[in-house]
Amino acid sequence: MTLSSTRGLVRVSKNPDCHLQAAMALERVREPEFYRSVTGTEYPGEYGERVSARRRGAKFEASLRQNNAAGLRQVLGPLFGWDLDSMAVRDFGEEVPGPPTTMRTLRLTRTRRILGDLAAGREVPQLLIQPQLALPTGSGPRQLEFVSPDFMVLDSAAGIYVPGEEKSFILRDNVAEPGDLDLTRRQAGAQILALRAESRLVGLADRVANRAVFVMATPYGMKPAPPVVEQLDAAVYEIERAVATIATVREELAMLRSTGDAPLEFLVDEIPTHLQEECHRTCILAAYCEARQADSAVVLGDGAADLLGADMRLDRVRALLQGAPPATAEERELVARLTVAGRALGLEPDDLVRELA
Amino acid sequence: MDSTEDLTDTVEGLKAQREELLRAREQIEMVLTRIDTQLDQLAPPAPAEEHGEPSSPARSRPRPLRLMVLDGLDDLGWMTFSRQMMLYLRARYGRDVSPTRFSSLAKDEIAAFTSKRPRSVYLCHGLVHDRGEAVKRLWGRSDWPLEQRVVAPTTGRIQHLKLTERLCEIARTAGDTAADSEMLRFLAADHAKDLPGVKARRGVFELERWQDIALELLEELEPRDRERREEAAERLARLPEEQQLFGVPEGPLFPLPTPGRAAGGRPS
Amino acid sequence: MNATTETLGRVLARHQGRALPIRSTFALSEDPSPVFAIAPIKMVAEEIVQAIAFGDPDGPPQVVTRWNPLSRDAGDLEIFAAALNDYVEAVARGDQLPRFWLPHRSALTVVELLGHRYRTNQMASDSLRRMGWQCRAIAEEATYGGQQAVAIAGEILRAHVLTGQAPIKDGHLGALLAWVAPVAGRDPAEVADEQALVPASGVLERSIDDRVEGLRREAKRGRGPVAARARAEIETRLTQGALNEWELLLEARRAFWSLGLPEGPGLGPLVAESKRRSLYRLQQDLNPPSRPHSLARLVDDHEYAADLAEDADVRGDLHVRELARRKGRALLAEVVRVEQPRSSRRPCYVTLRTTQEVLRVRQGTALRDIGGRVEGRVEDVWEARGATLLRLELTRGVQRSRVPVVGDVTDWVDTAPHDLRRRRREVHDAMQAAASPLVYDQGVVGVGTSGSPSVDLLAVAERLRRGA
Repeated sequence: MTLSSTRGLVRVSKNPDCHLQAAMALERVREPEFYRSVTGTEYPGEYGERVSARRRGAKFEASLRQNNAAGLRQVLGPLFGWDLDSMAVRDFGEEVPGPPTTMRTLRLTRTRRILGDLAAGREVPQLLIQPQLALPTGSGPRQLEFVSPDFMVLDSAAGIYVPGEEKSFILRDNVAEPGDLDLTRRQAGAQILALRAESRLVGLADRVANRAVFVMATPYGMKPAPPVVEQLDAAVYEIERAVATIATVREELAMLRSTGDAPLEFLVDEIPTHLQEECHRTCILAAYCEARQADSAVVLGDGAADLLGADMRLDRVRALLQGAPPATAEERELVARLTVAGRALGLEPDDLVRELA
Repeated sequence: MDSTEDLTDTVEGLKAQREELLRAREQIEMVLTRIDTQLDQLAPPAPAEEHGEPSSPARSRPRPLRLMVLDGLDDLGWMTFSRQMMLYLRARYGRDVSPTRFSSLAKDEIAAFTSKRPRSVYLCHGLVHDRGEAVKRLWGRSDWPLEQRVVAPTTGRIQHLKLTERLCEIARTAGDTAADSEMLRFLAADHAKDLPGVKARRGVFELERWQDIALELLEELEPRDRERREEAAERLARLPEEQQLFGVPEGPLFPLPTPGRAAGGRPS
Repeated sequence: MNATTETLGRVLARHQGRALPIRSTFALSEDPSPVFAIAPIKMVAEEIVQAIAFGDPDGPPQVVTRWNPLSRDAGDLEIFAAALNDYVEAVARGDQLPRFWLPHRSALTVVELLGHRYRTNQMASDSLRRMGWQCRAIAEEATYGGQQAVAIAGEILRAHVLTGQAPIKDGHLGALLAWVAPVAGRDPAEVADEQALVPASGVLERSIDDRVEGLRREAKRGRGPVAARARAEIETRLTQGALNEWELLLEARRAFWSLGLPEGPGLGPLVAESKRRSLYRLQQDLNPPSRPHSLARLVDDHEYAADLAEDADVRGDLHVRELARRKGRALLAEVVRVEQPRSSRRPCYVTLRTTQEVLRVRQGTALRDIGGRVEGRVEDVWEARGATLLRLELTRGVQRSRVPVVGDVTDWVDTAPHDLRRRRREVHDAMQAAASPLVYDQGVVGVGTSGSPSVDLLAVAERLRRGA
């Protein structure tokens, strides 16, 4: 799997201060290979989507899209002001199945034609499946990311498409796990920005709101739960930050390579990183970054990094608690706060000294 | 990086290899079928027939896929998606076709057309009504009138209804001639479940009722759809024949950024 | 716990190479006998059970496997359903607190989904439907603050200790145990990172999962020897996976009790409430509340449970009380005056003196001593000679045997749960009887539909302005 397109943008949005991750997304690295290039060893953990997850996702999508997308029409039609039986559907998965090298641009062409039709007041389909959009990430013609919503549905009131995602994870009592939703919202944030960029080409950008629709599963087979329309200002903002980071990192890489081409793995030490707890869940290089900052506050988590400073060495913290003179006003305050905190753990200052001996 | 390691050790590489091998096997089968046909034409009558015994089965080469798809389209009488055709061929004729075969089928048909090797009928694609863009997984026959191969905004529904009606009919009447009559019934049910007023119940196949519902809806909806398709066909008839069969040519708007290459960077 | 305290705890734990207890008492009562442990293996993304190890954690587990979990045939689960029901009947007969141990939150999700899928499933047998509502009861009980019936090993460990690693790593039960039960001679951080490579969320290890997926395709191909061999291998691998989860659960449970803390003194009411709720729900199928009055009762139950849990923690645990003290919700005070005109009778006023800097006390605050025998409401607060004085009117503990004595120095806390559910139930019953459309109908009730006389609001406003 590569860190390309929406996947890369979403990853960068979760940690925009990590330029290495942005560089990996920009260069569309294949993560396990990149790990091997950087560390010299195979990635020891589990990587990639499991067969059962892929299968469930594919089954859920197929069940919604079969029979002229009956499943999708049934849940989306009433929500967006359409008689579900008269919704016209175009499925780009059936129109332009592949190969991957040309599929995206061909789908993008067709999507753009439909947006052009919409702007010109011509008849357009109410439901587009696997449309293709492009989100500019810089000013150059190749500086873009392809973004593909699972579908877009035409909002009859707003006169514009709303991007949507089909997610096979399970809603229980109409509630999803927060972690599942966070990624989905960020994906949708990228789709909203891409749709706005495409709509700008035909003068319809103003109609694109920061909202998306999600169709998720219930605990009962492949039946969809009632769709959820969400306002996604925060997600859009996060993706905008990610795009800005990518633009910055593009320039950084150009500068680093100004004296000679070097593969990204050779530049890793020169690119700023920003380890945070979430990295352990999402980034293949988390353990590598952590090892480079061993015995600093960041290994104890985001809370500790915020309190002590990410680069604060733990042996310095221990020394301060054992009575070493603080070198700055911040260190003096830190000692005071940690001493008070010690009492909350049932430890007086002498106890702390003893525990840290 | 070691290229053998890269390609063969990745799942993507293995999949690509498998696809290539399947394509190669099908090509070889087609060639062998042609050879067999020619040999059969040259061979003397089999001795068993002279003694009144039933002839042993001809060398078991599968019928070429394109012929099976043409037959399938004939059975179903309407444009059919690759996936639907795959399942139909398996249920009706016991023929297993991998999804990737359909993309090579399309290339073969276009190659056959452009090489001017005459065929009485070609497999072709459905065409989007306004611009003649191909719907590459939607198949039709070149001997159908153009309006039967056009996809208007209303045609998606008609296609579903047509297929449902035909599958119900075939499931009802195929009997022992179907390779897997149970699968045929399930296929019909899978289409019928999205008809209005139909509630799918496990193991219950109301084929006649479903067929009637589909026919009623077709009676109501098909005229308007036909009108739109005929209008579109009038315009699309001005296209060259190849484009009427396989869709208007489309080129990428601009070259794609390729994996591993950023502006000014080396591929990783 | 605030970030500073947590950071310090993790610094200490990392230095000492072992987890640091952050409570002085257990928040979970001693395991009753018997206990029922559940360690499921699910199919990733489908959240469907493919194996469960279950039973008494002090004995060998039973294991059920489903080689084809996506099939509608759920007969494999009947053994689990029967064992679960046997357990419920046994604890009900003994009028005991049921205690379910699960390894992690993911296991509880699997149990909850069994509840969703089978409780009202008309295609399922009676025993599976019963299993459905019993599973649902277990999942619901776990949502109550301070509940004592459902022990999720990872969560309960995290509530009692801090490790020397980032909190996100504590989410992996194996990585957490590396700190709670460190391996002699090894850095727990390294052991934790090794453990984190093996799934500990109720799924098979990746290569085995892929193998099982492949075998499933073969197993579905009919009844021949190849299919039979495939099914047999699937069952072996699933059994091993479930036993691995079982071992992880047992290890976590052992590690928890090995912390060696005393039981919290205030757990009695929590045990009583948890037993009452869970035994009731485990023995009958209850529809989830959906009407306003029943939803209101549910909220009341949750609020009271949360109040009880907080009170038990703050009064019963030194460390928790210290944290409350940092927030001004617990104060060490001396009794400097007692005004009680008639012995053992109200009114009785007690004046407390404290030099604690952080106080979250004002007029009307209810305070209770940590013994829980004396309770009062703050009437007045003032400063004098570098201390804060509080005058309480006692609402409980006015008897001579209980009333505070001048010179007593003790902790007072602001957790004072009161069970107002019966009073509130009267309100909810009245609400249900009235069934006002404002409460019970969907949508907005139109203004003026009740036929009240129309009033010229502008005229009213004008009159008010003129002072009429």
